[in-house]
Amino acid sequence: MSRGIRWTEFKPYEKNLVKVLGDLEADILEALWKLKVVHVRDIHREVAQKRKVAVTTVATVLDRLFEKGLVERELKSTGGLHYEYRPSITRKQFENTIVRDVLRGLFETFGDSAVSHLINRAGIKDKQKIEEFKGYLEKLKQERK
Amino acid sequence: MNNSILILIMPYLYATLLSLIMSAAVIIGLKLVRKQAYKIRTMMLVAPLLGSVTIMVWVSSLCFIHRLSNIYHLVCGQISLESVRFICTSLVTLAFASFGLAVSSGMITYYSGDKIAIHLFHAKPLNQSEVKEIYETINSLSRKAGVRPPKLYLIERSTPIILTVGRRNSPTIMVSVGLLESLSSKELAASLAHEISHIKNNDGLIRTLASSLKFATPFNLLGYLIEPAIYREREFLADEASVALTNEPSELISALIKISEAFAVKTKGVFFYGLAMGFFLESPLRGGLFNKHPPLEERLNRLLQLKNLAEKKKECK
Repeated sequence: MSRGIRWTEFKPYEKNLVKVLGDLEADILEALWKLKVVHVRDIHREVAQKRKVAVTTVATVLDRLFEKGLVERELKSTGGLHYEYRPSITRKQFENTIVRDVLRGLFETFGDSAVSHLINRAGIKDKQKIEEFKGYLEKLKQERK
Repeated sequence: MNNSILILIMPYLYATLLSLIMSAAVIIGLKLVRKQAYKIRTMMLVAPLLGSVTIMVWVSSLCFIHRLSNIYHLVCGQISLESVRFICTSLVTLAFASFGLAVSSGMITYYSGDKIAIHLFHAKPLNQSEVKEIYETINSLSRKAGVRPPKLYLIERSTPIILTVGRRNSPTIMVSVGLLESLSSKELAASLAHEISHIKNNDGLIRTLASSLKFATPFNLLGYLIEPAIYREREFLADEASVALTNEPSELISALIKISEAFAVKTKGVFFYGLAMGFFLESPLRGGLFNKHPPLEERLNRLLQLKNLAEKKKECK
């Protein structure tokens, strides 16, 4: 998972990106994915369509997303000193890293329970596939040692 | 308790009691002074801290001399040597250590606070060519205020931050990228005027002095209320002086609201803001006796009063 986000922060009962981010963080990241490279005011305009928020609040949250490694920023001097923000990770990459890290965390912590639940959930009956899962679990355990 | 031990403790008890009475009298007395008399209120607040330090140094010196003169009795074993040594050394040492620590930390903050803050924020100097308009505003406001134009440093953060560090004759204003991109040029000018007012009012020295005096008298618990009260008075004074420089109370009001909104979400690293005099050292949305900045609502109310006053003056003309 991206730097600064841990699988233990995963909130299963929340919706969409709020499962791993704060409300505003999620909205800002969504806006960045939509707008690509932008000024803080553009992000603010986009987010303000959904919720009442100040531009300085958006700026502060952008600092937090930068620290989490989800946002990149470049200092520009044309038209006054300002940052140009862009997402440092695509939506697909973000989703993949969350799924990978959450599953890894679950397997590491809850081992057999996590595997059997996943097998039942996916409706896997093929013995070979089940063995593959078990093998994967063993590999994870070995890695931890 | 052994009489000899009491003799060693009593001066400190009296000194503490006296310090507390002085501090309490000032805190109550402040209610009688006009709210806008910031300079008088500052002097009133500094007085009990200064008085407490004087009493504590005097008592500690006497105790130290008394201790030396009592060595004969202690050696002869009239009282428990261990207990007396413990109480005597702990109180005298604590008093002197607090004083020494307060003086040295005050000196470090006053003379090197700017370097520490620049290092902590990883701030970089801003050239005139990069931000010509901002430098023009700073130079014009400094000329009006009669102070040396401060150096300008950039904090590479999106959170809006503005703070002043350094001494009156070598001041530095630090601004974050987030502040420059969030405020309008007039709001920025009002914020810079607030910081330049801190320089004009020599708040770096006054605040360092207040903190040092508080640390020097650890027994005076009311000092922990008085020190932030001094900070708050200086903030009000800087707001007032800022309006006098720009004649734009509305812009400062707007800037204050915008900056305070940045604190609507929890921020990391707020601790570092405490090293210097900034707009906000802690959440401006939360008031309190220990808060070094006045509550936003109170600041806005006083600025609105200034705005109304300015409008009435205009009408009279």
